[in-house]
Amino acid sequence: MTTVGLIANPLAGKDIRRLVARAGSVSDADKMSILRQAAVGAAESGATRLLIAPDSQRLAVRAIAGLDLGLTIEVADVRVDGNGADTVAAARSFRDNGVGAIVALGGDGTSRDVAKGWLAAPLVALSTGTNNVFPQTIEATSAGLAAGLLATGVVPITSASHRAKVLHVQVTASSGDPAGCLRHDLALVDVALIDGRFVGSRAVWDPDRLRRLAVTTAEPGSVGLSSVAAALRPVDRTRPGGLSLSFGPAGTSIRAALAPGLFAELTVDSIDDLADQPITWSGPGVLSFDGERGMSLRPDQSVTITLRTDGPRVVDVARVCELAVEAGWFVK
Amino acid sequence: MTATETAVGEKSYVEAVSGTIAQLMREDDDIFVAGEDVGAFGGVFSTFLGLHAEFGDRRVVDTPISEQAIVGLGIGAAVTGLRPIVDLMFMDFVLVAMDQLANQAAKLKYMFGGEATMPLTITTTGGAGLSAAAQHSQSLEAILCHIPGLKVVFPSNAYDMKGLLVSCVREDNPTVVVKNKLLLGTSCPVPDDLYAIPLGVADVVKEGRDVTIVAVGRMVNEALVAAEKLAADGIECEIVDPRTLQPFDTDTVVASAKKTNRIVVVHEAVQFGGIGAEMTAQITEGAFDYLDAPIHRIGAPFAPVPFSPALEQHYVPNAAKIEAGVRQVLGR
Amino acid sequence: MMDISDDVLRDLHRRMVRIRQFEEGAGKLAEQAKLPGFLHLYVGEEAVAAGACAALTDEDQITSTHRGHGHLVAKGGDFRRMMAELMGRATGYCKGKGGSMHISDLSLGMLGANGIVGAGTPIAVGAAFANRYRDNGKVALAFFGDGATNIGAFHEAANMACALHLPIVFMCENNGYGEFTPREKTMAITDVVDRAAGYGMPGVIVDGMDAVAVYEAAVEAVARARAGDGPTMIEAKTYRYYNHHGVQNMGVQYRTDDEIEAWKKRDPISGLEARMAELGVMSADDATAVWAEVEAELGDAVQFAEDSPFPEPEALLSDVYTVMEGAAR
Repeated sequence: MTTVGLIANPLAGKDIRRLVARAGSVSDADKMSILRQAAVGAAESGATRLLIAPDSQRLAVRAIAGLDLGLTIEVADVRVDGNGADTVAAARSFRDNGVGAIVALGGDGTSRDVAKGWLAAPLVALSTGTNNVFPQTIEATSAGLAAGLLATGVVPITSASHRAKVLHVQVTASSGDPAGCLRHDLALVDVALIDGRFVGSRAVWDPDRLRRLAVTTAEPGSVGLSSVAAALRPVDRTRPGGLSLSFGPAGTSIRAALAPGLFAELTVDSIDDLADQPITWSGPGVLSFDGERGMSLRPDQSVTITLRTDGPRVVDVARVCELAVEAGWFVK
Repeated sequence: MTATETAVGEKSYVEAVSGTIAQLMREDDDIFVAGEDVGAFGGVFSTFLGLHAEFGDRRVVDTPISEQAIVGLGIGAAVTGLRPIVDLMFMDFVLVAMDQLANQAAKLKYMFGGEATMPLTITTTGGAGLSAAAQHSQSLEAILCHIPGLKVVFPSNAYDMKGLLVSCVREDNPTVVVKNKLLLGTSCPVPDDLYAIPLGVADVVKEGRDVTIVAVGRMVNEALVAAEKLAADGIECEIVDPRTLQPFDTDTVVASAKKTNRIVVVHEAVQFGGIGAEMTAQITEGAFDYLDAPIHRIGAPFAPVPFSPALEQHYVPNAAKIEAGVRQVLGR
Repeated sequence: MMDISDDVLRDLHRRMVRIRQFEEGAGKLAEQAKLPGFLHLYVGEEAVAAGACAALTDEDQITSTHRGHGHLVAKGGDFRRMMAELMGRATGYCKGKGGSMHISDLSLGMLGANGIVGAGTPIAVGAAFANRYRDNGKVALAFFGDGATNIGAFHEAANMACALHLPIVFMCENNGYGEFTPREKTMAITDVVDRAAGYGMPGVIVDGMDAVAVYEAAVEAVARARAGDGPTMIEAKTYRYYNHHGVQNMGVQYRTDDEIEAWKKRDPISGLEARMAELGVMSADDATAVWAEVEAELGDAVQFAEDSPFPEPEALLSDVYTVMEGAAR
């Protein structure tokens, strides 16, 4: 059995950044169209099974209903709570049930949740989120096809993917006892420490509250916190190493697009390469993961961040298709 | 003419609407007009012509074709202190707005224990005779009169239109001003200055001793024609125009009944359950012992308004039917 | 992203506790058959009213729903007059003429609870129109449920507000059920906010069990409206602990105990209290004191209501119309 996994994050692309910035909306109807295209692409590849995540809105289930795809369709048997944990659980289930590649719809946060469930997931991430540094704008039909071609082995994954960098985050009590780890987490693009006390509406858009930032990727032209780093020292997603920044009253002033349609000025106090050595920040504050506030840090807590290249196997859809052409796959 | 006397000129029913609203708007900035096509176009019956040119977008507001929201706009603006005039293009469309009209505008004050004031004027245009068929020709005043909280006026000529419109706009309660399509082009002498005709006061249009014709709206004109013919036979008709249907001037009508002892009530609306039924009941209660014949009711038959002129001419009551009715109650 | 001050946190907490206590108190009175008529309790949804109203000034207007007690409490409603109204007394907000579903306080900009689903939204549009007409800087906010977005009045109001670019916030309380029917049976979309784009306004989803999240979004939406940038829709995902009306489930099982318990674990008040205690903003003792204070306020209100007279029969015919000076009748 060759299996493609399909996940849509129903919460992606609907947060407060439509209000505080100028982000667009991605409706359920739009997401369901994209899911259908991806499913058709996967079926075209010759994959024999589609395993879909039972998201809280049943987007994938409803999108596929009525499609005659000629492959087995199964819904992953996981609990649904209507939050990011649903995607984590679905990805874990995909890993344990022989999925060859995942197509995931969402933004940076959705890809992060996939990685939390299956760190080394073979992943085609489609942008339906607000900040889309990690996922890319790809034709969904081709994305589904590429995932299927990997699942069926027409194209070997090693020849058309790269391992994503990951910021591994450990929250500990300030005493520094590593055994006292309170929480593990991770981010695929950025982790930030922000002034404030509440997770609230989650998004991050106020430049004056940014204290520390760690990024895996700093690509000029992208939008979100990582674009701050990119303004000074670009880092490609496929190269090793990241960056660590701190912000303060004095330093280099830069302007960056913190959210769609929203530029802001920030003063970068320091910028350093981030390699294998962990960095540590102390509370209080709020930690954001890939642009979304995720947890509050008490004054007596600290966070240790380690960069490793052990994340999802990010599929290069165009490369998969090129290799399929070379193999003569399209000629019937 | 002395300086204190007001100039009087021949004005049409249409001018009595548009000109009066303009005069009212000049003296009170809280008054605005909203409705479908009321702006530069001036309203489909030209009853708002010239207002937009004088008062602009702020005070003369073209709305979507959304009758509920048009009335709701008026309610919300009235309850927060403005004095809106909102138009429902055809009286038939009153039914589309009925929740906002009957459940909201009419009842807010009472439901709030008297706290709210609702200086809202709703204008609408009713009546048959233009082959506008069943959804653009109705006379639905009885439905409105049935709702406690609303006041309803139905002017039969340009003079009354001006005076009643002034009272309605200055009224702190929701009022409905019914315009009649076939009266739009009629004209009569109308003073240039503003004057008010109090609500709830009937007009004895013509005095007579033999029979009372209580006529609503355009039927006053038909009654005058009938009365002229009957006069040739020595029958002297008294014609009472209630002008305001809610509150209804029972005293004037009952007094006339006691004087002439014979009654014909006539309106353009469907006879069954029409306002004439209420008039008949009130006259019976107030003047039963004075009546020398059963009260004769004239209204439209119990059918929707037909399209073809061949049918419509038989549908709408007219002078001939009134004449026949009078002869019937008189037995001659 | 504004820094939420300790004062705002305490304010959000107090608004929520007042709503919770008032509603729990009303529920108990209903069970004792002391309240005539229907009772639609707001328990569980407190974060929405509190977060939204904390972002408004006293002069800003709101329109409400059949589940309106929470909105009036959050806007600063007087317990005494509210409870007296629920008991049908002459001292109530509406002199006993409106009851639970029509409770209002125009002096607080509360333009009325409403017994007709969706009917408040066009009225809010009118208030917003008047605000802009007078350039008074006020904003109107319409509360409505997910079910209301299936009725015509809502669509007309949303479209008109956007067409006229009015200072208004559409605040949807999506509790997942239209009366006793789950949302998925009544609409083919899952997020009400998907409709916002169709009218041409931004729409955002917030956690309706988190007063801070609601407040943050409401502050932004209100600021947007006040700046003349037009309407916004906010969809707060929330839940009502009790039934559509009343307290008992009437033996009808239309949602599972698991579901109810899962939402209760995210209780907006206990969640905020825990966080405030952690931050040192409000100790457990301080929180208890707030509950006790509000409980006393409620006890006083119930006593006031029970001691109040019923309206006299002659009140039946007053307030139908505003009496005009010099009017003929």
